[in-house]
Amino acid sequence: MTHDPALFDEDEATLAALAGLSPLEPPGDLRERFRLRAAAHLAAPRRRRWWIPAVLAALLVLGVGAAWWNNWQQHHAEVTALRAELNNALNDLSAARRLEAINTAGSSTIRDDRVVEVLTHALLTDPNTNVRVAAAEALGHVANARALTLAAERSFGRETSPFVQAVLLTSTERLSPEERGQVLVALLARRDLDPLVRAAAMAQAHL
Amino acid sequence: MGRLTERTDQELMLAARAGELDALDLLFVRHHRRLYGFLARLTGDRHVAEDLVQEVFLRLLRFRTSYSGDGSFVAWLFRIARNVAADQFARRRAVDPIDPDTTAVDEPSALDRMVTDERRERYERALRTLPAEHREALLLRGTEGLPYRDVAAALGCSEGAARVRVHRALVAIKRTLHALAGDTA
Repeated sequence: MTHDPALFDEDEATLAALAGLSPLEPPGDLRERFRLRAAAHLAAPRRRRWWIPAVLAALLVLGVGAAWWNNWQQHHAEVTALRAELNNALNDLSAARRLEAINTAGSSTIRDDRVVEVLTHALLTDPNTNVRVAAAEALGHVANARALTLAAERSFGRETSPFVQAVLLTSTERLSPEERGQVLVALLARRDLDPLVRAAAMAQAHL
Repeated sequence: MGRLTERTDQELMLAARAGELDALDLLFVRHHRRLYGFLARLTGDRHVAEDLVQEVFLRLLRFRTSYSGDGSFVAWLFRIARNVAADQFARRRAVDPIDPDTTAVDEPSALDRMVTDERRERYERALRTLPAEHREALLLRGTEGLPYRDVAAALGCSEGAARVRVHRALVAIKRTLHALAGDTA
């Protein structure tokens, strides 16, 4: 912005005139009145901001909730993808494909009842021994104790392959003595049991 | 740290922030007169100005812990004063439909007694008739003599914008002075 020098001088004169206005004198007791108000302010009990902890707690709950929801969503998406992959693969005619899908499920960190169900189904019904061996091993990793006990009990009642029996036996080592006993009874009741598997089962029974 | 009276405004305010409340009392002694003059002319009401001066220093007391020590203390003080006056205008608007910008000093006779010079009286009258925006710019720059940097800080704008506001206010007051001169002629 450019100024006309004459205008600028006039501005300076106006500002100087304003600077020369008489100072307005406040009442003499103003300082004392302020002191009294300040003292009253300092003596007044602090207003408790009760809502601050409530807001913080609400924000914390919201944060935790959002994080949980986010994790759940992510977990749900992974589980859905794994289930779909496993279902598709187990309906595949290729045993190699089924084996691969079961190994993937067994090495996953996802613990899901539907995945365990599908693995149990493979353990009990898959015509390929290698696939059933893989299912026995995978269940040892991903199934909870109850699901593993039920799956092993059912498998030992019908499974004829000593390989599958031996691997499943190893998978059940992590069960409690009671659960393991329940499973071993089903296995040792088999008259056609392979002597090596029987010996391993007996050894486990004495653990 | 030396005696309180030897400290700068910033040092006093920092001392007040640290809990040395005597420092605030000293700041009151140093600045309450000019604040009073500013607020009395800005609001057009000396009684209101008395309350507002106290309110400004109470805000300093209340919010002392938020003082950063950056920039000019005086500019900061006038900025608080301006905010306090704005709150007062808002309250008055809420209960009183009269435009505060045109409200005259409530005790013109008392003021008149103080103002002996006719020229000064014309300037006082012209100031009172200006909108608050122009009035505060002129009071800060002219009457209080703050540098443009501090005027800008007090008004919460850039230095360039402060210069423009003061210039517009000067144009407005000169127009008003001419009109007043015409009235008295």
